[in-house]
Amino acid sequence: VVAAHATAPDADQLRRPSREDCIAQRTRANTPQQALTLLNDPTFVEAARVWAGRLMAIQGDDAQRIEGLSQQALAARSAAGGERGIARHAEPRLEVNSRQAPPKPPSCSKSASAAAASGDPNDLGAWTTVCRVILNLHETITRY
Amino acid sequence: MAGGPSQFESFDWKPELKRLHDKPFPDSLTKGQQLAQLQNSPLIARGSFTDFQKYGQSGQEISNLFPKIAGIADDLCIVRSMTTEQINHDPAQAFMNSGSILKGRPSMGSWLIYGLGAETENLPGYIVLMSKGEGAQPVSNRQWGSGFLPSKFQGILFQSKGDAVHYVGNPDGVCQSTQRLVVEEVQRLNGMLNERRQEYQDPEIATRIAQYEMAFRMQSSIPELTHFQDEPKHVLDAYGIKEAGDGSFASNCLLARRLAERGVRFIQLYHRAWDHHGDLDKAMPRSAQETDQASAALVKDLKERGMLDDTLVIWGGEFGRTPMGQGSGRDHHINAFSLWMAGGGIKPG
Repeated sequence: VVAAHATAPDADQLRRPSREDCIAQRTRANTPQQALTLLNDPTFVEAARVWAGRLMAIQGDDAQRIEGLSQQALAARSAAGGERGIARHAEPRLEVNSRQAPPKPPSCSKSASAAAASGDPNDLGAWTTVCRVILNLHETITRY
Repeated sequence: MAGGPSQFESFDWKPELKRLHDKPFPDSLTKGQQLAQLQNSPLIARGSFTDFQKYGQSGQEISNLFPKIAGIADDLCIVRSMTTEQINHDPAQAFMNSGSILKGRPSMGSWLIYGLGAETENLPGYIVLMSKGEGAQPVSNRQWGSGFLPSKFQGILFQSKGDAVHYVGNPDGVCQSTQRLVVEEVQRLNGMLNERRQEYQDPEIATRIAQYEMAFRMQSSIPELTHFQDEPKHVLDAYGIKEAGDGSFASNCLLARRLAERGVRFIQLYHRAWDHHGDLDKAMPRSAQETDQASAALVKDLKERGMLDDTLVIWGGEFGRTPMGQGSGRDHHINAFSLWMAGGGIKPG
């Protein structure tokens, strides 16, 4: 349901058209509030968490999971090898982080899906963090 | 003062018009002129329904609808010779903001932070606040757009009701160090994207990087900014704030002072009201009442804090209203209207 006159904050911040009229060009949206929405809105955090759960279901090593991640978010738009490299680059630092202070998965328990609930919570936390990074990239949220 | 406040009920005393009240408007003054909704209707003069008095040592003439603004008469520079090219709200606001009705031109605030930079790293340099009264017309977000300048220089609209900015807190269960790590990683990867796409010269990537840095800083600066509890009661009372962050013009005025204190270069407060085509004698006093006290309090507050010398306050709309009546109201008028300024080195009184 789209309520044109009671837009959700994320619709506002992403300048989503109201669907009342056809528009040829969307207004540019590149604001700190948009960054805060993508970083902190439970909708996007939950999306990262569910995505992390799916990655953990992949049988294979971390490199293969990273590969799956870049295929879905980045490489789907451009299959250049360098893009997969970028995704791999993100991983070592996050691994260090998960060793030093294992991040717990963000607790959006209200809608947490079953897929996100299984597996080692520390792994889920680490992968959720990786997924949050990917979901916030300019390349992910901008059409190239 | 979005909508076009009437100069005849605010800052432009016209005794002759009052004498002509209800009589046919002299043809010699209106012949060939562009009118909005009054085009081709019989034109009847309408005198001000308010009384004007001289205030302060300077004896500025101000309507009795604005008693608090009248109280700072000696700090004001009233400009009664404003004109504009545009007779409808949106293009007239665009003309005021960007000097052009064409889309894609940077607004004044964008030029200012493009040219002068911002004095704070923890808040955007150009912030827009919105409130609403009677006779409210929509205000498009292109009014604070950066046009062809990089969108880093656009105005940032804060919420006036509730939280000024949504989602300033980390997600539940995410500690500050993990949040910092996420932002740093986003920055690093966006930086690599920027390098790879050098040939396209896409300023939006640099803007994205800057906005994420700003977003992270705003996670701590916004709660402190909007914490009105540290304002003494007499300050809240001076502005006439019933409840902090209630979406009122008064609350926005105090937020504006707090933004100015923190080094925000350009702050715009839209009070959407004033489009009084009808019921002028009821709606105008209400709109005046919503803005009078807080406008005066803002100027006085800035003055007491020694900030008025280098802060320019401008109070005005996108156009004025006709000396001819339109039913129970007044139509849009572009050939003469009033605004006032205070501070910023202008000559008051």
